[in-house]
Amino acid sequence: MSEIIIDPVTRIEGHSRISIQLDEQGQVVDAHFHVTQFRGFERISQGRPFHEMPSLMARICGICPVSHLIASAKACEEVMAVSIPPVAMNLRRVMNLAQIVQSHALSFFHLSSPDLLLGFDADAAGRNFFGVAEAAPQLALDGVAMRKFGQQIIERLGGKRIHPGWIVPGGVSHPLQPEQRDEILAGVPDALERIRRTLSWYKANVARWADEASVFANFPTLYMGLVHDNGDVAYSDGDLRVVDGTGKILADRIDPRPYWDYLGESVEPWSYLKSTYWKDLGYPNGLYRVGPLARLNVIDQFGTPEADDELHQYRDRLGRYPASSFYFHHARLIEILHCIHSIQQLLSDPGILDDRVRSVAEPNRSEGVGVSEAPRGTLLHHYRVDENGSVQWANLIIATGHNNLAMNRGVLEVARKYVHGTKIPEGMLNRVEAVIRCFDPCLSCSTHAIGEMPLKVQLLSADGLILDELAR
Amino acid sequence: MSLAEGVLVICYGNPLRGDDGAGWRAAELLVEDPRALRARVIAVHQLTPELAEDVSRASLLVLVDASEEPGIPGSVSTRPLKAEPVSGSAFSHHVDPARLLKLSETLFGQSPRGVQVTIRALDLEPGTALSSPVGDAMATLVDAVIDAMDEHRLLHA
Repeated sequence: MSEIIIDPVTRIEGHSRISIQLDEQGQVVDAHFHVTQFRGFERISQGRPFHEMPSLMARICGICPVSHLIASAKACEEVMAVSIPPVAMNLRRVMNLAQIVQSHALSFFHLSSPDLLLGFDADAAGRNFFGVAEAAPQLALDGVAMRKFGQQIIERLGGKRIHPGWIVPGGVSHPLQPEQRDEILAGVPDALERIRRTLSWYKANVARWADEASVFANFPTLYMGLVHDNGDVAYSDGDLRVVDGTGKILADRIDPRPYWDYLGESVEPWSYLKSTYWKDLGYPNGLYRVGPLARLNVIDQFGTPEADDELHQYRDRLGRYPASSFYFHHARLIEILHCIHSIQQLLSDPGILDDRVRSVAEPNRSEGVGVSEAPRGTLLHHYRVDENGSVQWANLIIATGHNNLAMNRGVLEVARKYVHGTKIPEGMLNRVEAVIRCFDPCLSCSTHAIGEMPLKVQLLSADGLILDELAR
Repeated sequence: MSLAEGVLVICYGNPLRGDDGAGWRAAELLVEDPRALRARVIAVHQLTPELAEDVSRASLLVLVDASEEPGIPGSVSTRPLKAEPVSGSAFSHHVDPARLLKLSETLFGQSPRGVQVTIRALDLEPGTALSSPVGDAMATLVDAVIDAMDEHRLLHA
């Protein structure tokens, strides 16, 4: 048995390793996506007052702290047994949508566009965002501006771009001011122009990536996401819908809070990232995907006309339930378009300036679950507290964990296509990394390392000798 | 004075990692310092591509950071920055100072004169307090930023 190691995988949120096992004939027999870091926020939170949880949990991630704020605050509100004021819900929605814009922009423009624009086999030294800036300045400019648009909304609402403290148990800490609203709305036309240009560029070039699309985790799975009662996409609330690759609905508008009834959690010895699975199908057959691709598969429509038009085009081109994870990229762009329109709609309602923005209560229940859609998919926070509101136990299920089984299978399929024999083709390395990048895994959320390491790949013989080695 | 003619000071680091928060402390001092009234001072955790537009609109960029380089803890040094070619990094979440200048030049057609002011760190362990030598040298750090601004004004007087 031989083994190829890719360590670390680059241009994703965090650090990981990929190993590919070969048999004596050099054929791929298995592959693993290893998350090699550990954080342990579930343990850190034990003993903390429940009302500290949103700000503590936001530290899980510098990319999507708003998602953790929302899911955590919702879990706390379950503990408090309160409903939050409607305007607070809408203000949270605005911040969540802004976060999706900035996070998706980071994923598409900063992390993935180098592969798409410059080619998956372009020299790795220049295949990065700076290479994009040289080759297609407008694309890079649009990326910088889109991310800044989302970040500035978060900063205007929460006081800072990273780890804003504005979302609190019971609502938000202070109401929106007219000048804040006007500043955000003033940026909408420019943001729309940029995402429309990017969508046009993507659609004009998508045929170039047909080969990658055919093998990037291109297999049917289940898909899970939150939807509103009318089938519109839901990000900050809503109920769960689960469909399979044929469109059969396995669960519709189910309460996501008793997740343990239908989601199993499994741990493998080779990764700190746990895998979740659909219980009815068992482990590992119950693999499913969450995030942009899955959301587009489970929803009936977005609920904003221009995004729905793009969704129709997407489905006309790819079918109703596209299976290739390559289309996460396209789905992200359509979601950005929808999020910008939704931000505009929410802020155009005069009620958004209401000043009753927070409900106050002591703990009235011993347990709470909060669920929202993070940029990468469904996010669950589950807490148990004692009579004083001190957290005794916590469980987090992060989007990257939901996608873990599918990512592993995706790596295996790409390896099977590109790896034959005892030499490591550079194109295989690029594509194994790229298939993971489609999912935009956030390893800081699921466990984030500090530092940067060179990419190193080793091909090992059955007796441990190095047959081939590549380093970046 | 318009921003295009002005000085942009970006102080960066992690204020929860001991002396890595020196940049943030310097930002607090600079916004209160009458000698820096005409400068725009911002504090960030790390340099990111999104800063390139702000950088392009400045005539002088001063970056303030803690340094792990060997040296006497609390010692302050100033060095000029130059926009550098873009190859060699696969990481895109953050950029180093030279690449930030280059990105400003590439995307926005211009980059300012750049200066980096660093203070040698002693303790980068988790915590919000600066070590004694770094805390004692904050006035020197701020003076170095002011000196860089003064030099720039003299050059363009």
